[in-house]
Amino acid sequence: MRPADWIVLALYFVYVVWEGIRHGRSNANLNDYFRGQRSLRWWAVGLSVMATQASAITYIGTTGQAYGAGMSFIQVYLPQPLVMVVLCMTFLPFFYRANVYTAYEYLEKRYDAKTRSLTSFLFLMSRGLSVSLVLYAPSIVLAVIFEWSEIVTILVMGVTTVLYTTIGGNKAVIMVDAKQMMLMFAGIFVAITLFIWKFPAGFSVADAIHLAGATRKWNNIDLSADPRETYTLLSGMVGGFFLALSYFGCDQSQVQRYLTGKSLTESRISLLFNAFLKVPMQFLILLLGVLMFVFYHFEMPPVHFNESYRRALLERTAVEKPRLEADYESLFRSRRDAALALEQSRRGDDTVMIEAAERRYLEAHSAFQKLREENRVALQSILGSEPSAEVNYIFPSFLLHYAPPGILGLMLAVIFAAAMSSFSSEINSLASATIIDFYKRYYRNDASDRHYLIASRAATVFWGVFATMAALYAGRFGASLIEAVNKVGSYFYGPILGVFLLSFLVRRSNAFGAFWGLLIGEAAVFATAYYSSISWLYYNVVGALTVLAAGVLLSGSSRPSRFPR
Amino acid sequence: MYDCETMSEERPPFGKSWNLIYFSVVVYTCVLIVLLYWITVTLNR
Repeated sequence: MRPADWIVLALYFVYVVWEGIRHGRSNANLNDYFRGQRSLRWWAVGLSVMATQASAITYIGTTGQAYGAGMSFIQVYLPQPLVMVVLCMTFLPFFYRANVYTAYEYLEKRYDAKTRSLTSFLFLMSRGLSVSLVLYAPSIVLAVIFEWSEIVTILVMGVTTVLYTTIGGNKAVIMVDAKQMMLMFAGIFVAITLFIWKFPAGFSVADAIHLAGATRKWNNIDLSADPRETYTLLSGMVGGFFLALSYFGCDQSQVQRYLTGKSLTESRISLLFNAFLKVPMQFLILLLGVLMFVFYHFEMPPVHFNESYRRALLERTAVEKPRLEADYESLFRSRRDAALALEQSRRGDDTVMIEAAERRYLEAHSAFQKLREENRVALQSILGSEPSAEVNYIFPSFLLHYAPPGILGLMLAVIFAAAMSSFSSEINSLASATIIDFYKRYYRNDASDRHYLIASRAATVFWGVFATMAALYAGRFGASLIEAVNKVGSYFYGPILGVFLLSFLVRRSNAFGAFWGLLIGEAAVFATAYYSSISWLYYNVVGALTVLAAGVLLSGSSRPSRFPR
Repeated sequence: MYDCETMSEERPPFGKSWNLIYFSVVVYTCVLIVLLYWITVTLNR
């Protein structure tokens, strides 16, 4: 890190706090604090919806994933435009017209307090457990690559975000999110330019596209019908559809964004804005990974992108170190020369020569990959367990070694912006569910505006401090628990979606059917996860459809609930 | 008729109706899938 990078990073933090506090000065009641007086324009809400979804791992993990496995991850995002249409037609008008603060509040108007409290509790539990990972995941990567203190990184992100979220409320969160999202867009284009600039002289973008194709990185669409596979068109369009509908339609961290629109029309446009922009944005992020894969044909990648693993690998195999490094360098050079020869051969029309060059390149690539795989196995035996995913370390490692002064600071600001925009929305939504669905509903329903404002700020501080502390201790829990928290979170989405679908689509459904249908849906998801090997993307489908079916059956035996207009 | 249909009385700021805009999003999604499939078939050799 050079002074220019520190200056850019410091400017980012100062700006974010100033912007947050500036927009939050006029908070006087709950409507101001949690719904921004319902005064926000479509572009701010739309960008905030995007920023909340894009976490730091979206940048550092997804690019790394594309580096190794190509573009297939894009399929999970393909149904999102359709989800936005469904939201505009159903969820959004229902919530907006019901004049609610939380998505779960609507369920009391439709069913009863019990159903509302249960869904809100499930949200608090799943989101509350996973919110700390938004801070922890990037901090562990940045700690390894930049040798920063993990504790300081978590505290800087946590304290800054809690500060402006607590003071400014949801309006500040959205306005800061919008600026952070613009920064993230800028970061994508800067990174693409950086990769192209770093290609060797005479090596064009067309050559890069071709080289990536030779190793099948352009695997955007997989037509396999195997439900055990996650990254296929079928899994994406079915499982991804339900996942996105659950997330955008029933997760308070998203619902709270579009409830702040100045009008129903503004909120609708904010979602349609997402419908058109989200897939191209994700495509560009994955493209970064593919370009990075091509780039590392001409600059030698480290034996392992995680610096501590690289050292462990070289230290423990000290006897073999010279041979390991010599083999690695030799295979890297072979692949580089074969790649250049392949692209050179493409300049001519001799197809036999091109095919021969391509064969040589694929052999060299395969030999290089084989050595990297051998290293991974060696590392596994050194560590005594599976090493943590290398994908998260590739992009930050590239930035550290190849980004020019100032640009590194900018790209780190992008990573911080991605983490902080998700974190701010999540603690703000946890606070709103706590205050609106529990504190105001069960304990103090007749207090003054000032009282609720203080209580809401206290709840924001509570969730912010809780998440920051949990992030500080997350490393001690170990990778398996962190993974479990992530997985368990995904078990709740489908059934919650099922309750909302039941309320919108089945007029005769009632509170009895909704409540017990939700519990049956949860049981079905856990059973599916335990007994079957289908992709986790389908858990949401199972959960939602089970709640719908059980809800319809159970509602049939009793009086229908009122249907709010 | 469900409430969501009666709630669409607000006119969109562009386009003739909300339904037409929604339809254009569906078409857009189909175009994206076809385009991505075309990239898969032509660039992945």
